[in-house]
Amino acid sequence: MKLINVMTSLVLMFAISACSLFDKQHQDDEHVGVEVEDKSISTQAQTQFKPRIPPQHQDQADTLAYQDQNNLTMGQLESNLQNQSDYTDQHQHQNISSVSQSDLDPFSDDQNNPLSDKIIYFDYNSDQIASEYQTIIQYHGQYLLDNPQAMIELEGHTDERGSREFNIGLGERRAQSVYQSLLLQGVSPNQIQMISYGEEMPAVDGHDESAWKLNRRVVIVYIN
Amino acid sequence: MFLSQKLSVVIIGLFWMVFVSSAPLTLEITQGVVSAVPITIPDFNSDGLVDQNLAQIIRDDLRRSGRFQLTTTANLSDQTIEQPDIAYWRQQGVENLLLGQIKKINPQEYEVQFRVFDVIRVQQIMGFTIPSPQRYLRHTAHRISDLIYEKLLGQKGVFTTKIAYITSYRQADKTLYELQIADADGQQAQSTVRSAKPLMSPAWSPDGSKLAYVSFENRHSAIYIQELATGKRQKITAFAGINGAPAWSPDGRYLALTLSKGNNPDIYILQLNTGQLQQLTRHHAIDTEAVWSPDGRSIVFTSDRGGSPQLYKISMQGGGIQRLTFEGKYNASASFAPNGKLLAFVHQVNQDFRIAVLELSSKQLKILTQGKLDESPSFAPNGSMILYATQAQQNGIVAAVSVDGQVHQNLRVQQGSVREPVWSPYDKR
Repeated sequence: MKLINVMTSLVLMFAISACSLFDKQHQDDEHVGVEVEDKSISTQAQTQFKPRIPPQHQDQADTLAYQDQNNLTMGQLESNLQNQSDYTDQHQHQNISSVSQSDLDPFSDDQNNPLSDKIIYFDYNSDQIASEYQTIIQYHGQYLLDNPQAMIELEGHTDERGSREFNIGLGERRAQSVYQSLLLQGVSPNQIQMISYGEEMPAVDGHDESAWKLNRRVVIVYIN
Repeated sequence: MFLSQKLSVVIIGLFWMVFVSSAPLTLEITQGVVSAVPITIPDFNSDGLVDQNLAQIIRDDLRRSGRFQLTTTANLSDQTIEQPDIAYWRQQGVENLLLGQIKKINPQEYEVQFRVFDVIRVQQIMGFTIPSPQRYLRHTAHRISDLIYEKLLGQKGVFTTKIAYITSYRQADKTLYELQIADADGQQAQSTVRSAKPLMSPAWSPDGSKLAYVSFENRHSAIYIQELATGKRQKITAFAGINGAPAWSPDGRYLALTLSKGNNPDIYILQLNTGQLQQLTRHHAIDTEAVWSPDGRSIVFTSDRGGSPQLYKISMQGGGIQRLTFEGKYNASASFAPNGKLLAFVHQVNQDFRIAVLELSSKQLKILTQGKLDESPSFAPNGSMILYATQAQQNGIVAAVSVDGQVHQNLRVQQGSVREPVWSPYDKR
């Protein structure tokens, strides 16, 4: 009987040790922890960790300037750049109104799909949407108009500079810029939610402009 | 069956300790004061009763404060605390001497006795006997540090206080966020909340029994208050948009916070027992990061109403809003000194963000740190040091600087990145 008890406790011990890294609450009588279960993780959430290169627009000179800037970025982004130029070639001759949007899937990451571009980048301390991102917003606006049941969340983000709570405010301003731009297209405000993560969820780690410029962004996330 | 339950409880305790000790914060002093007080603290006479070296804990506390110079000596186990050979210590050039011993009074209870001597004047400066359960021995050592600090420097020590902070680390492609609490020396770190979504802006209640914080679980920002003794937590606000920057009033009855309600961020005051919410600022700029003056009569906050983020003060009795900072294009995230005379905040110098203090009466600004991304200053409850977050080797670490800028400390965490440190108030127990 004693042996069984000891065995039971050994098994218990292993079971407990296995989860102790995650479940280490109540072990101390002075101090009790809380484990937050997050119900919001979806497949979409993955996209925000992938650094996506801001898309080039039609103007050749600007495209060159853009690629110049990217010489400063991390090596891991170089291959994305290559893919991106293929994408631009295909889309350069497309006019937004000529595309039938009813078949487009906003959850697809296929680069031929104009809705796969979901990130708008911003200048330091700015909430102004640069003209090169109007096309992205127009595609998503058209999709939302065509699909009134579709819902998006605009996630505002900032780089790590400055204070954290002020950056929450700045991230919200960026999300609101995109929100206002979609409303001007006629999208219903009921289809849009907003959240600002400030500097708390960087797309890219790193402490210089090459990382910062990829972190100052609004991400369009489809939530149904 | 009863036996096995009891056994497993003990074993949980063991694994807990293993976890805690696997992620310690290491405190190192990087710069101290010239006029440090010399003191000698030989190992305590404990007859091998306890495995913790209390003398070492006290030596580390005092050394890290930057205000003491610890001199080493041979360990003299033949000297009793009752009859120390002061002449011998004087020969060794010792000026201040602390001798201690640990006695077991029953299986779980110890008695820690110590005496501090002025060796030159051959006088006892102080002596105490502190009963201490085994698991409080470390805390008892910090208490002794507090007593010495206060006796020799005339200012209350903060060695028994705690710090709360946020850490983040990658685990299997995911970033995990934790709100942790540790002793002021970075030891005994414990996780209070863990989440796969960001946690932010921890704020101690004035009695040290609760923490308010922001959590982004379930794709919303919300402010929670958590009782530390029980782990019980309560959602305080979850309006549309921003729920941020909680700050307790000095009497603990109100919480200042930032809400945008889907529009733009303003400061609100929430009465905690009634839930009554009152809007304090009303401006299309970003108003956030409220802190209460220690007398509770005014609130200082960050606003970019003038075009760039600056600190402003608003009286709780109504009346105007007064701008406090004029130097530089970025001043944010204020912390009030406990005496209400100084503000510490983030101040931009060229491209760098540093910690500065502003003396409110003279309007004099002094930059205390040299980092590139220093943020989140928080005053120690005795006003001597300011805790803040900085970058080292591409990672967030916690550091501390004395108000005069002379003493610098670093606090490292082994795993992940640390930020938003906040110093607890004094333990009111």
